[in-house]
Amino acid sequence: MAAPKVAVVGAGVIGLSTALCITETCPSCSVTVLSDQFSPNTTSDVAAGMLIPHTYPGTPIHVQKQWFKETFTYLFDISNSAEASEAGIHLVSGWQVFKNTPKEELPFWSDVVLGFRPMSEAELQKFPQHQFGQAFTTLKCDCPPYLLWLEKRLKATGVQMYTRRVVDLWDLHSEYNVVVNCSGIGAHQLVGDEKLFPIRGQVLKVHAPWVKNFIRDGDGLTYVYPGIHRVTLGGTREKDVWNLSPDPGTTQDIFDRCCSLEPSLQEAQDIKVKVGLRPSRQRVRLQKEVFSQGGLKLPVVHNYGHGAGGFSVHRGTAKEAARLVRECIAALQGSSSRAKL
Amino acid sequence: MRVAIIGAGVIGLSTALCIHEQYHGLLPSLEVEVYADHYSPHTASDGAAGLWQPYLSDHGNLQETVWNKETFDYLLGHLGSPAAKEMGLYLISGYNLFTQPVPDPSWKNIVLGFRNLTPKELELFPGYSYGWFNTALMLECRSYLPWLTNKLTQGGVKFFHKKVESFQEVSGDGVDVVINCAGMRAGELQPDPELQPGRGQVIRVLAPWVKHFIVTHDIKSGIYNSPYIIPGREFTVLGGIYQPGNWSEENSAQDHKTIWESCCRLLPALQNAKIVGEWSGLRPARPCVRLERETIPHGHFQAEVVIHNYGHGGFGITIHWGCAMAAARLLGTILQEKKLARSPQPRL
Repeated sequence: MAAPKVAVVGAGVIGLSTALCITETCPSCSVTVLSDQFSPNTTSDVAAGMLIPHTYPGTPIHVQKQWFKETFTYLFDISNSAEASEAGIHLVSGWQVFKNTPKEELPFWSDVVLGFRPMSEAELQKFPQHQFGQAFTTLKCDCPPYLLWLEKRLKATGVQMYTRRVVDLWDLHSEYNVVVNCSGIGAHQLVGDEKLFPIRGQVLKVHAPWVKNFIRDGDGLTYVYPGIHRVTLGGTREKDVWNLSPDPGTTQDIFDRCCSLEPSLQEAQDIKVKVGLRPSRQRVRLQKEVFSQGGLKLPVVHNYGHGAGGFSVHRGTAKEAARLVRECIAALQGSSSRAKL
Repeated sequence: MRVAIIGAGVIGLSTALCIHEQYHGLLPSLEVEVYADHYSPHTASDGAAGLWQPYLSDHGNLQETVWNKETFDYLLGHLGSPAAKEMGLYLISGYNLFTQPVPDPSWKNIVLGFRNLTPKELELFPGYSYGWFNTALMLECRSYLPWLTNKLTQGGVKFFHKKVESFQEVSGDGVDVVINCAGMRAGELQPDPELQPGRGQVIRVLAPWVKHFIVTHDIKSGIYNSPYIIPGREFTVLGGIYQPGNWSEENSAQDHKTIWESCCRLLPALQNAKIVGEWSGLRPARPCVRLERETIPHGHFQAEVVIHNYGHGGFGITIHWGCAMAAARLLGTILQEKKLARSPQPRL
């Protein structure tokens, strides 16, 4: 097989980073990205892009930690380089505060982020409703910049990107040798995955350039994440809700909760409201599958279901998916050479 | 009772406010006046990035450490108030970097969350092998000085736009106490060989992805002669110039090059930052802050009472409120003395 043709379905952070990893591990591959949405209209564009992992109940912790570590290291190097601002990657320090001391005081990722330690009494005084907290420095991937930077790097290696709504992965079998399914919440319909469900998140993106630190309530519901130009205020976690329209009552509620964490947000300007559906699953679906119809086969690599933790593990899962793609190509080349015999 | 403050930088205006707040209720006849030839945004205070951070060592000057702490605590108390944005006040975290281990600073327990840098963090800063992380405050004078001015105006304090040439000029006009907050030019009111300029230059850039202050230190070159990057609300300040004895307020191309190259080495992404301004100013440097009262006699029967509050070098914002309160206390003593002088002697 001269130049194996790989289609990546989906152009959010998972699709684009997976496509990039494939070009890195398989330089002879011809990679194409197909998606009905590109930045700034993907789920990733709504997210703040903070590197604070979500825990998947169905994936071993050491695997999640490995994914997070790979992602953090990759982004750390970019944040340290001249490309940091273009890629939208920057360091941010802040606090995770708890109303009640959590049972698990040390999350699995505490030694991956920088400077992780419990908050001092003096620091906690800023949060009178909270008893305990953790201070650390982590990375943030601002979107659209990060996705646009990925797109730019993909185009530089010759990857083509097309706006196309794929309704059935099998439709791609005649044009491509391997299909990579990074369709996020779209996988619910695209491959009929009933284990994939949305967790609706509404956020506000506001102008408050004096907010330089992040604040996150340990319950994961209320957070203040300063980005390059805007601060993301969140949020909600509404299971099985598919509605993409902003809800005004929710907007007010998010604003109030964030102001109680950071009173200066009362002066925030130019409030924009966004909604995204976290593509949630017990575990990330990261596995090969072979579709077959009428004697024809199509190897598929699934890489979706990252829920609330897409940014935190994207590079790690992309590398794993690229490895699976190589296995698929090797298998195809093996069987095609056998066919020639 | 007329009190005149000379100087409308952070020291002059905060001293005026502190005095007004403490005494206008107790002494309804108190008139506070501010005299200055430069007001915000044309003062030295306006050029400062606004980071609350004392020098590395207080040289045993515990008084200054106390004033620094009083200022930090005062500002921290205002953080949650609605005035914070108007004051230009907010929290900021960041890094102090060294090429060798150094003793902890006098202010380690004043700031929040002070700790040493981990090896992983030091990877961000090649060439530096030791450092601190802490959360401190920013107080942008471009906002703070107008906020102070507003509060003073609301309180009935009068402002005069003039260059005061001597204490006599003001006291001869009927002012009872003069407060000398003239900063760099205090020497023109009364020669002070210990007051010398510490010239600084800064480049202002748009780099909104920078969320931390980064202050490097070169023990040999001295304070602020090593690159620093301080992100504000609207722009990020790049600096690292401290030239003792240089009175020039003109931007120097050589200093621009020094700042730009050293800051870009520290944070490579700055190469893409758009430059939006450049500024030079003179830090009013002195071995220690001059904060004391003086009675200057004129002939046999007259004397002018002066409270000096100048020589805050590169830590004016950091120390301003502690000094304002100390100056107000000195004024209180003077007011007490004057009251005693006027009231009849009780029960001899």
